Parts: sequence; C-alpha cells; structure tokens
Amino acid sequence: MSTNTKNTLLDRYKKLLHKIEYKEVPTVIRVNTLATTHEKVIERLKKELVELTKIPFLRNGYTTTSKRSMASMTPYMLGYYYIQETASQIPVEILNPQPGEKIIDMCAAPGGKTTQISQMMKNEGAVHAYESKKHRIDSLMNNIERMRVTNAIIFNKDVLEAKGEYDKVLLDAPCSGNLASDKEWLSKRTIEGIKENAKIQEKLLHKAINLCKEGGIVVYSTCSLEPEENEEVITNVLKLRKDTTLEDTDCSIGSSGLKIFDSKKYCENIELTKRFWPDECPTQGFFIAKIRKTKSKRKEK
Amino acid sequence: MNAKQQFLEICKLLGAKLQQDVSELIEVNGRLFSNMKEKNVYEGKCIGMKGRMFRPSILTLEQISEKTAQKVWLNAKGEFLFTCGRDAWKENITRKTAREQQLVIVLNQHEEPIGIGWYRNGKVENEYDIGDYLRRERRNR
Ligand SMILES: C[S@@+](CC[C@H](N)C(=O)[O-])C[C@H]1O[C@@H](n2cnc3c(N)ncnc32)[C@H](O)[C@@H]1O
Repeated sequence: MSTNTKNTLLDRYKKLLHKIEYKEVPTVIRVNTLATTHEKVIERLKKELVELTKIPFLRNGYTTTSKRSMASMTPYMLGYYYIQETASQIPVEILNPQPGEKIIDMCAAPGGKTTQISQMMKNEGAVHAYESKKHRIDSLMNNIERMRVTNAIIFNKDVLEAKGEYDKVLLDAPCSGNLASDKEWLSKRTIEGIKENAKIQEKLLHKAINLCKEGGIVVYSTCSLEPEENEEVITNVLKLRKDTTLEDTDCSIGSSGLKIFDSKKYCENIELTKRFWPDECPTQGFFIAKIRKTKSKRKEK
Repeated sequence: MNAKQQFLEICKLLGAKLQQDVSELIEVNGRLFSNMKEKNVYEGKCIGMKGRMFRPSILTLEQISEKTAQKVWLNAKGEFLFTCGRDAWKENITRKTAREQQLVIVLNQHEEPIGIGWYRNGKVENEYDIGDYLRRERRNR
C-alpha cells in the first residue's frame, strides 16, 4: 500500500487527537459460571501458577499473569473460561441477556459472545447463532460445546435470510479491525475497503432492527476505529428509521462517540455511543452502540 | 455403528448407567444431541460425536465419570501426555480402580476427567481426550 493512504489513515486519528499503534495487552479471560464459580477458577489456576486480577467493570473478566498459553491448560479444555479481550466482553454486558429470553447473535463465530450470552441467560431461553462462513462453524460448535452451552441453535447461513422476532439482538459486525490489535493492519486497509465494509454494516443494522421486537434492544459493535464503520453507520441507518432511539450504554469506561468528523455531523444523541480508544483505555480498539426499538414501523417520508 | 450406538457402547463398557432417555437423541452429521427440535447443525445439548469410538462432550464425560467405577488417575506429566493425544505410562499412574483390559475414565490430580482409555499392560492407551478438538482445529486451520 502507498505511504499516502497510510498517512491518510494515521492523520485521521491525529486530527481526533489520538495516536494509534500496535499494543500488547495481557491475556484476559471470562470465567464460565455455567461450569464453575469465580472462587474455584481462582483456586484452580493458582495451581497452574496463574494469578487472576478481577476487572472491576466486567462481571466475569480477569486479567492473567501467565507465561504459558492459557489455551493449552486442562481448565481451558474443560470450559472453565473463555479467552476474550476486555473490550469484547462489553457488548454482551450492555445487551444484558436474561434467563428465558430469545436472543439472536447475528455474526457468531467463533462464539465468544454467543457463549457469554448463554452464560448470562443461565442456559435458559434460546440464543440463535448465525454464521455464514462454513469453515468458521467448527470452531463455533466446539466453543459452544466446551463452554457447556445447552440453549443455542447454530444456523449456518447468511443472517440477512433470518426470520422471526427477538427480545434482544447482537450485531457484532464484520469490520476492518484496527491497528492496535493487528501489526499488519496499515498494509491491508484502504479508505475504499473501509467504505465497502460500512455498506455491509448498514445492511446488517437495518436487518438487526427488523429482527428486534418492539421495546427490544439492539447492540451494535465493531473492533474498528473508523468513523465510517461506526458513527456513520448508526447515523445513516437511524435517520431512515422512526422506530429507534439511541440509549445510554451505562458503561463506566470508554469515551463518547464522535459528534462530528471531517465536517460530517452525526445524528442526535450519537454521544451516547461508546468508543474505546486503545491509546487511552486499558483495552483494544472498539465501538459499541445501544439502540432501543420503539415502534415496529419504518419512517414514513 | 451410528453415534447413538457408539454412545451406548462406551456406557456399557464403562458400566455406567446414565439417566438419559436415548429415544429422544438425534444425530446430525455425527453429533448427538438431546433437546433438538429442528434439524439444525447444532441445537441444544451436545452428548458427543461419532468417532473410532464415541467422543463424549465435556458434560457427558463428567456424567459418565460420576457413574463408573473404572478409573485411572494420572500425575501432571501423565496428564500432559494424555491431553496431547498420547498414551500414559505405568509411572504416570498414581491410582487406579480398574482391572487389566478395561475401558477407563482417566482423571488428573484435581479429580477432573480428561478422557477415556484402555487400561492395558499397566499403561493407559489413549482412546479419547479433551485436547482432541484443539488438535482438530489446529489441523483445519
Ligand atoms: C467480528 S466476527 C464475530 C466474532 C464473534 N461475535 C465473537 O465474539 O466470537 C464476524 C463474523 O460474522 C460472520 N459474518 C459476516 N457476514 C455475515 C452474514 N451476513 N451472516 C452471518 N454471518 C456473517 C463472519 O464470517 C465472522 O465470523
């Protein structure tokens, strides 16, 4: 890729007063309360010489001190925990699944968030996990089984074909990723590619709102830092729909979504969305929006 | 043999009587499920998978472990070998409640079941272990 595009992407962050570079974060786990308790996992991992430190704003998240891979230990194979970065544990915390609900995870593989949803539902109710790529289904099945989930159904198809009505909808959208978690990121991405992704994300977000019942919640998340894939997707979709409002995420970390970028003004209440800037948060890069569906009707023009 | 027959076979060989209504079990692509309503690729509780011998899910492995008397316990070295798909040696065995030639549930020093093996010639021959799917994923990557 040309130095030119590289600089454009980096300059955009600079304009927003951020400096993004590759960042190592400690391994973070989510304790699986479907298998065991926090106390037992702490004790058990001590025997493997791993110390856990609770992350205060997450229900089940701990940072680890291990030199060994956390994915090769017996407690991992037994499903006592899932390896899941801090920021990526937050969307489901915001979705706040309850036992007995019917929830759809629109982009599920490898299942970090699906298994987290089931955990919070205590395996009661149903989670429908959609994943269109066949080669990603195996890891999704294995993780669901390992994490002792018994209330999930996997659909190996394009979620744009999904039907039905759900209490809650998670759209952890396919995105361009970010430089803080991928060293090679700059050489892979272009503004055009980012805009392509944004188009797909808009389609998926419209679908998410259609799948949600009146009064239900849609959580949209990406691990991208680009405004086109985040605030702009939310703005473009919500301005076409009368049946939605943005809501406070009630999340104590992260900063508010951008109100304006490159002279483009984003929609009302956009500051209720959350941005996790890797240069100021103890996390990887992330974006989350919480949307309430108010009425089951599209905006009349 | 289909997955359900394989499942019944290992329960029998291990002398484990599970409270599982086998008539409601449904097999999809070699995976056995209970509480399945539609035939999706995965739905409800996974009992295990068809293999050379039945490969129980973690939940099933724990259930069987509670219902069988045929067990062998391994030390840390043996646990490592076994969960890497290898056999465990005589010197890795710290305790046993099984006779020669029996199928056994293999446990580590923390009372956690880590797989199934044949107790033969004082060794434990690996039939299935909980590291299996990790190795399968690595191969498919
Ligand atoms: C960001 S990843 C999801 C990560 C996952 N939520 C987790 O926490 O482990 C996005 C996934 O969505 C899948 N995907 C993309 N477009 C899709 C579509 N139209 N329908 C279903 N799945 C889709 C991709 O194959 C990819 O596996």
